[in-house]
Amino acid sequence: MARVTQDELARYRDGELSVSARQRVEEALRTSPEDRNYLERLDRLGDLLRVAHEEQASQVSFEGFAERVAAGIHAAEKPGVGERIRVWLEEFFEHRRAVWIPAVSAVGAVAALLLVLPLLHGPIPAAPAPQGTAGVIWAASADSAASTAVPRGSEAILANRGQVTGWEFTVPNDRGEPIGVVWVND
Amino acid sequence: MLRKIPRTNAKLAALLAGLLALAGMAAAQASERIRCEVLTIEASRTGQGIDPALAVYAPVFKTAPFADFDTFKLVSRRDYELTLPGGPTPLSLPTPYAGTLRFDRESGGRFELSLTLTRPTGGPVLVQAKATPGTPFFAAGLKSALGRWVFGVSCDRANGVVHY
Repeated sequence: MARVTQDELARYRDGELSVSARQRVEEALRTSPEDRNYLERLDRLGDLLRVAHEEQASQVSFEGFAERVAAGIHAAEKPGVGERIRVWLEEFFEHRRAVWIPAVSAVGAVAALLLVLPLLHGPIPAAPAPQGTAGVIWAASADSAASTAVPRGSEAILANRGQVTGWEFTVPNDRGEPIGVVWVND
Repeated sequence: MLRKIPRTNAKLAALLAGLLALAGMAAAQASERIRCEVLTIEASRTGQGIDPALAVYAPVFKTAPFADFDTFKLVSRRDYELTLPGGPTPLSLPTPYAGTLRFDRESGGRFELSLTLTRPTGGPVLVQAKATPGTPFFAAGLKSALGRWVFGVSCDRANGVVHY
């Protein structure tokens, strides 16, 4: 005769047994009055507990429950702006890597391109001298020469010619760069 | 295996990159600085020749409009830092003259500058110049004790170096 434990009977009642274990318990229940008696007591105990819980629940009032929850939420201290920004940034960098990593990479690539492009320009050829000869009056830095993509030189005008008498000259240096000169008739 | 980036995230990344690039360009534009050197030279007919410090300009000083003088003396050499945008920067000039230098803009690879020279008699002299970095322009003709003043102005980027 198959024997089962009280624990197995309790689990049988709760539907927690496997198929084979359940068949074994049912076989025992058919042959064992003690096991059937124990199972009936478990059923009665379960019914008593359910009734007791239902009575307790019926005595609880849920009136104003939602309002009390809302009041509790409002009563909680709100975090400051700095705290909220910090949390937002942490969340952003943690969970939005697909956004900021490509963005930073793109900006870095653009910055690198902007730095490299000027270096790709070769030396700037000097323009032919428009007049005779002139000495070197100002040698530009190598940096400037490399970064300037326009013909080098200067021009100067007397902007208030109506009030001041003067002349404008262009004096070339030995590299043919025109240099602006304003001579005031003082 | 690379994870496929959602389209929304790609748009956000592009937007963020654009904003960062714009901010960088704005910052670069806002912080444009140049360094200008102002030479104060006295030209005269006193037979003393060209100041050794100005020897590199000797060929220029032998051409018009400087050819009428045989003496060129370097009186001062001063550096000024100009910013864009920025107002006129006062210059230290020989008494009784005063002057300012202003960086107006950079266009087409040239610095555009305004030089104002104030004299005790007569109206102020306003010279507007365009010069590539490291290239000078000159304003001259104001009377000095011995002859005429010659002011040379050359500007370069603030991190640049001007060689003489």
